[in-house]
Formats: sequence, structure tokens, C-alpha cells
Amino acid sequence: MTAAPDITRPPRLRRFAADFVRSPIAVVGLVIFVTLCIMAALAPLISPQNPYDMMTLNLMDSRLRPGEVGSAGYVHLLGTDDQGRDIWSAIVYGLRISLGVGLGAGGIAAVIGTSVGIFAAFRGGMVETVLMRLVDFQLSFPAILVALIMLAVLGPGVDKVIFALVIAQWAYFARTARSAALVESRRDYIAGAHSLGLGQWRIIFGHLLPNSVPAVMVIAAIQVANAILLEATLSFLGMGLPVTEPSLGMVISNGFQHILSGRYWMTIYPGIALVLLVLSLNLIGDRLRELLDPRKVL
Amino acid sequence: MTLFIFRRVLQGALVIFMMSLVVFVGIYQIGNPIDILINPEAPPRVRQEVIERLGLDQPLPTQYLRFVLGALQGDLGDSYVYNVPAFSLIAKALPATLELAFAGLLLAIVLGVPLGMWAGYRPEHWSSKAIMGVSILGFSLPTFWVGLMMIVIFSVELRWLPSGGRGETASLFGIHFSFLTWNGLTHLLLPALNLALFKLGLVIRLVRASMQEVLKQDFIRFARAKGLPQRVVVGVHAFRNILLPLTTILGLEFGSLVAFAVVTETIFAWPGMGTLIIKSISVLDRPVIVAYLMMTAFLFVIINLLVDIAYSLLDPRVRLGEEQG
Repeated sequence: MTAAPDITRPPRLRRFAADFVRSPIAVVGLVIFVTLCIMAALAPLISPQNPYDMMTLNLMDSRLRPGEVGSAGYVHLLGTDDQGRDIWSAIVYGLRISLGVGLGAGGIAAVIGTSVGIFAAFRGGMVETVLMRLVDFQLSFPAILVALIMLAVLGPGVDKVIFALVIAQWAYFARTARSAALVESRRDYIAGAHSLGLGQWRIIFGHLLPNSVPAVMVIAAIQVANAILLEATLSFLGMGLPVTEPSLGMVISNGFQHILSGRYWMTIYPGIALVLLVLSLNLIGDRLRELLDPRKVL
Repeated sequence: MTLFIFRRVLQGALVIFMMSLVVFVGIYQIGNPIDILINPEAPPRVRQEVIERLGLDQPLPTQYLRFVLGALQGDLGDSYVYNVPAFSLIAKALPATLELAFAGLLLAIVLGVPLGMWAGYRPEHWSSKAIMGVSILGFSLPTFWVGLMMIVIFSVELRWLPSGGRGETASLFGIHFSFLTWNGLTHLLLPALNLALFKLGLVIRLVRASMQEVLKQDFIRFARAKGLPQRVVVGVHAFRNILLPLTTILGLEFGSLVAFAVVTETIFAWPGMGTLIIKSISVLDRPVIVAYLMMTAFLFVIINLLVDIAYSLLDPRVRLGEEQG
């Protein structure tokens, strides 16, 4: 276990990948997630229109049922909304924004939270107490409430939504990273590093951080899923992204007013895309937890 | 015990104070309520008068002091839109939200505890695996979308249940509740189920994990060795030991149900605090936003306090550890 990481890491990673694919359901999750990422990346190529270019919209095409042919001559696979926007195109472009915001916010929260957590564990004493009290204080409020407060204060905007999500999520990473780093810092190799006279930054970045990463990875997949859900919910409430950056949540919200008149396709299909995205991340996260659960490693 | 409670109350007061500072200073930064409140063509004299009456010309610390002094006397300012005390607006909407959250919590327990116990009792059985699959789905389904789908299925297609509103209410102790009338109950069912699904996965997983933990204990082996029937071992001995972790988590989760009711209330047009806050945010009704956030913070502190006290009563180690530390 405590051999030099340079020697053990490549086979460990390969073994890890082999372990991961042994769960068929996790592989399904991974395949769905990668497919959705590719769809989002190739959005302009695989959608018949740019749904937010007003020039391509034609009000004559509004509220078409799935499968009907619009005035531009192509089939609207999943129908159109009340402005004549192709739902399939709206989903593919919405995926881009949902994924971007989720990965961005989750990533930033992971970096900040992990840094705080490891720093707290390494320093100990008053610094640790104060930081962890702050974490506890924040975790006693649900993420949606924290994000709602932040957005009520900040107003709409992509940067503000990401900021609000980071504020709502960093504490989860801080708590996990701290407990992982605490366990590591009591191990012999850290004591050895100290007695060799290594500097504190070298110990933090060279030893504590890489060994705490597995624990953080487990919650990272799930927190990105939560960030995507949270953003969709906020956008649905009209508190999230501006109308010019429509995520899946906003596409669903646009269809909301039409469900009572029986035009379900405007909400069902974007919702299914959102469910697939979040579900695939949760399946991956669940498998990671099974493989990397810190309690099992001990 | 008294010392323990005293320290917790003090901590709670500190949290509320911090919250008031953050919220007040934060809300102060956004927009200019004057633009919304006054007709832009109003003469400057009238404008000035309104600004002075609301105290908006004062520096921030003075405004904050006025707010705190008012808040301590139960006055959180008047709503800019409705022109009535913000506190009374919130208080009027509170019972609807609490009713919804309680109904959601109840459904989550009634559905989640048996499913979780079974999944923990027979972890390898196919039905347990199915239950666990459903619980992952529960984490992944966006609550608001599930709510919309419920409306599509049960209100639009099947026409079994109404799609929104509170229906008829009956009054109990002077407060109106939906669950007291049949019509009200039909209105409550869909939103409550929607809110319950949000917590169902968590309850199932928690109960399953505790069940597996408890079944390994010596006293369960002992009860079995004594020849007690299986349903007594599981239903009484195991069940009682699941209650402790369940109480803690559900106490804390009740708060998040109240917060999450914002979403459910918006979908089902449920006239509670959530609908009120979303409306207030969109029109920048500062006093109501601040009052809502303060009330929610207060609610959370109270819930945390009650959970802490209940926990220390149920498990003396918590209290003793604290007093030694």
C-alpha cells in the first residue's frame, strides 16, 4: 500500500477500470453519460435548427405534434413549442448548458472544498475548528435554500448561477476531503514524510492530496448530478439562467403552461433527457462508491 | 443537561444573528425597490417622501439597526406590494406549507420504512434489489418534473385528482387545513406524494443500512436463540433500534422538506410560503424576502435544537461527550 505511487499507479488504474466494468448497470450509466456528452458537444451538427436563433423560428410551425413536418420541410421528431421551436434541437442545446453549468459548478466546488478540507485537516487546531464549524453551519441548511438565497441576492446570470451552486456545494467536498485527509495524515508514510523534513506544501500536494482524491471522486459524480438537478430546478422556478441560455430546466418550464391543454411533448421529452443525464451520473457515482469506499480501503 | 441546552440555544441565536446580517446586507445590494414601488412619472417630491418614509435614505448600518430593533418586537417591516406586515403574510401562508411538509414526511415514512426494512432483512432477494434500484431512481428524478408528470397522468388523462390549489379547507383551532375535508384531501394527495418521493430514496437507504447493522448485533442473535418468532425479532427488537438514526435524519430532513416545498407549491399552485417567496423575489418585495428567510432560519434552528435534545435524551453518550469536551 505504501510503496512509491509511481510504480503502483498505472496497474492500479487499469485494475480499477476492470473492476468498474464488472457492474453492467454502471457500464450502462457510463455509456449513457458519454453519449449525452457527445450529443451536447455536437449540438449544431445533429439538430436541424439553432433553437435560439429567432431567424430560424417560424410561428406557423408552433405546437406541432411529434413527427409532423414543419414549413422548413423537415420532420419535427419530438414536436415544437409555442414559438415553433423544434423540441429535439432545444433538448440538445439545453444539454450543453445543463452539462456545462453542472460540470463547471461541481468542478469549482470540488477544488475549493477539497482545498479547504485538506488544509483544515493538515493544520488542525483553531483553523480546523473554525472552518469545520462553518461547514456544519452551512450543511444544516438544504442546498436548494442556500442557492435560492444566493440567487435572490445576486439576480440571474450564468456566472451567478455557477457561483450560487458552488456556494451551495463546496461544504460537502470540504467535509469529505477533511475526513479522508485526517485518516491519511495519521498513517506512517505521512509521519515518515515529516521526519524526512519535507516541506508542508510538498506533504499536502505530494502525499495528502493524491491519497484523498478517491474519497472526493466518489462524491464528485453525485455532486455534479445534484448541481445539474439544482440548476434545472432553479431555472424551472425562473430564478436561474437568463432566457438567452436555456438549460433543460427552462425548456421544461416553457412547456409547463401547456400540459393542461394536453401538449405533453414539450415537457416529457426534455424531462427524459434530464433524468437520463442525472441517472447516469448517479449510477457511475454509486459504482465509484462501491469501489472506492474509504471504509473498505481501511 | 441544562448546560447542554443552554449552549445549544446560544449557538442557535448566533446562527440567526449571522443569518440576519447576511440576508439583510445581501438583499440591500439588489435592485432599487423605489423603481418598482413608485410610478416613474411621480413628482420628485413624492419620490423623496416615500424614500424617507421607508428609511431608504439612511446608511446601511442604521437601516440594519432599525430592522433588528423591529424584528425583536416581531415587526419585520411592511410588504411593499400588499402594504401589510410581512410577518403576517408569512404567518398566513405557514400552515399550508407545514401541512404539505408533514403530509410529505408521513408518506415518505409510511412507504419508506417497510421497504427499507425488507431490503435490509433480505439484501440478496430480487425484490430488495428492485427496491434499491427504485431508490436510485428517486435520487435522480427531478422533483419538479415528476410533479408535472403526475399532473399529466392523474389530472389531465385520468381526471382522478385536481391539478392545483388547496381545495376546501376546514378550520381547526382557527387555522385552515385541507386534510379535514374530502375535497381538500384530494387536493393534498398529489403534492404530498410529490414531496414524499423526494425523500423516499433517502428513507429506504437509511432504514436498510440501519437494519443490516442491527441484525448483526448480539441481542438479535440472543432473541432468536430464545426462540422468539421472526416477526417479534424484526418488528420489535430490530425496529426499535432503527428509530434512533431515523428520528435524527427525519428531524433534519423536515427542514429540507419545508425548503423544497417551494418547488412543489409552484407546480401545484399550493398557496404556501414557497409560492409567496417566489412571487416576492420576482417583484423585489424586500421585506417579505427578508422575513421569509429569517423565518426559515429560525425554523431550522428550532428543528436542529429539538433534534439535538431528542438525541441526547435517547443516547446519553452524546450529552456526556459534550460535557466532558
